[in-house]
Amino acid sequence: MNERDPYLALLTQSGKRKFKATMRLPYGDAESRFDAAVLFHEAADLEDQALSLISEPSAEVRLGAAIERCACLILGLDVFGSISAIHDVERLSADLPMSTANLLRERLDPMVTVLRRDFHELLSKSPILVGAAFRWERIAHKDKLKAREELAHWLERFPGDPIFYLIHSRAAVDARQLDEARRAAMRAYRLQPSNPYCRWVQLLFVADAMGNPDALMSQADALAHLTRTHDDLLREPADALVYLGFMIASFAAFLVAQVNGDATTTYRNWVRWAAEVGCERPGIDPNAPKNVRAVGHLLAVLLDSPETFTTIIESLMNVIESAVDVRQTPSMPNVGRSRTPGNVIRDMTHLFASAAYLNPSLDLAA
Amino acid sequence: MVRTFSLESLYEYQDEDWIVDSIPFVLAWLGTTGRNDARVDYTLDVTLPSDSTSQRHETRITWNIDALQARDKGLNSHVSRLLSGHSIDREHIAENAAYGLSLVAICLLLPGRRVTGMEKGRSPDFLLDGTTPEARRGVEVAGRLTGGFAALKHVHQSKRPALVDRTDLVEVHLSLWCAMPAVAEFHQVKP
Repeated sequence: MNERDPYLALLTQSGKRKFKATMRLPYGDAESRFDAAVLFHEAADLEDQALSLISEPSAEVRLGAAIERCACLILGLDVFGSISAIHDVERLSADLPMSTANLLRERLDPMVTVLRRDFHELLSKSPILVGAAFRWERIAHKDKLKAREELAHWLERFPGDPIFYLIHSRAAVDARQLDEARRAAMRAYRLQPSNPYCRWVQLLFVADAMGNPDALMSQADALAHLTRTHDDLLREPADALVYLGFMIASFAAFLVAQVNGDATTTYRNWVRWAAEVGCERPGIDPNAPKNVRAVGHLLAVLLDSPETFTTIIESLMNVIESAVDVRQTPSMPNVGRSRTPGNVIRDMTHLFASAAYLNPSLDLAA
Repeated sequence: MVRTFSLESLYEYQDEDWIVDSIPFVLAWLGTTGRNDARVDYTLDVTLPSDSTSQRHETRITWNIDALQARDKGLNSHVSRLLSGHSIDREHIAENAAYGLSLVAICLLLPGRRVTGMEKGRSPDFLLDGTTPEARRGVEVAGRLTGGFAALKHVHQSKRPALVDRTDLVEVHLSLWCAMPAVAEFHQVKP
């Protein structure tokens, strides 16, 4: 087997990411830890891909790959991903004599012990999040400040777990901190770019960036992401949620292009295409195909009369805002502000991000 | 006879990705020996299949900071950050420097061999060329800040049995490094 062997090539790619991450971690600052976590997640995926290239791998080889993946997720500071990977290791260990499995797991098992200890310690210190099964929308308004403190502890210990960024993003949406929500969603996506929830939330904030570009994501970045997603979806069909996100982001691109006097045909076609294909796709959220169909119908109408969209968004925002305790949300928008594409798109982002049925919470880890 | 190896020549023998991030740790580690003259003399205990017994080599590791910086513009700031130590776990410096120094040992003692992978969940740390799914080849690495050969012997004894017993490992070397005093071991454990 030489370096051009596809298995070895993937192993080398994975190894290089692990090595770089190992070198990043000791710097200890938040950015270095997060960068290391992203690299370890990429390495874990590459381990999976490498294993898939082996025809009929032995039980030992399968356990070895599972151990390596699990170690990457533990070192990648992803607690729920690790727990799922630990179950895989335990299941595959049963296929081998105990002495063989123990030898292979010699280095991993102490890492698992530390992870479990920290996990249970944090669970015991998170009564509000645990009581709501980590579903943000189930938390009473009066408890949300405390819940955010609990969430901060999870993010401090496990800054590589995408679920905490998704919850953080959801919490920030509630507080109308959409820039913060976007930052958190982008982190979740960087950690797990193939996860449908992460892709969906990322696309929602790509839509937001079309009208509200910032240093984290310019309009050009947002359009590039949209184009890349279109190419990816053509190459490999995805979960219905991804089409929903793609449809909304394409519609945002359409609104911006129209205001700027640019060509809109591509985005118009993408909205229609996503609506048509997405409603036929299975959804990690069982409501997703239905939502794609409903939103698709609405956007199809609005593509021909986008000014109606502003009116609809304004009406829906009034409903949402009247349901929110304004004492908790000092950054509520000014009544009567002018309707630019940016704030229409931002309100649209807020509406979809607030939708309870589109929240990932612990479903992601299941 | 003293063998000399310059850190910058690592780039001739191994893929850049294995080297560039470990060099700051190696320099921070070598700095802990109290030397500032761009070289450190290591006493290296070596056992290879060709040796009936362990042999002791004097190895001089040198570096040219300009040549290293040409490969990594942020080298000085990385080393400074590591040495300032505000948020740095000192043990991690030892571990990561040992990876870089193990690359030196591989170049010196296993000429022509290349690092092709890294393992985190199981031994060995570095995979070497020739690895297959069922037959893995590699180098297990450890670093200690202090303790000399006695500390390394303890590491050797704790790691060796499991490496020998693993049926998926067909070739394993142990590469163990101590900063103070500057001593190291490199042993072929298997076959």
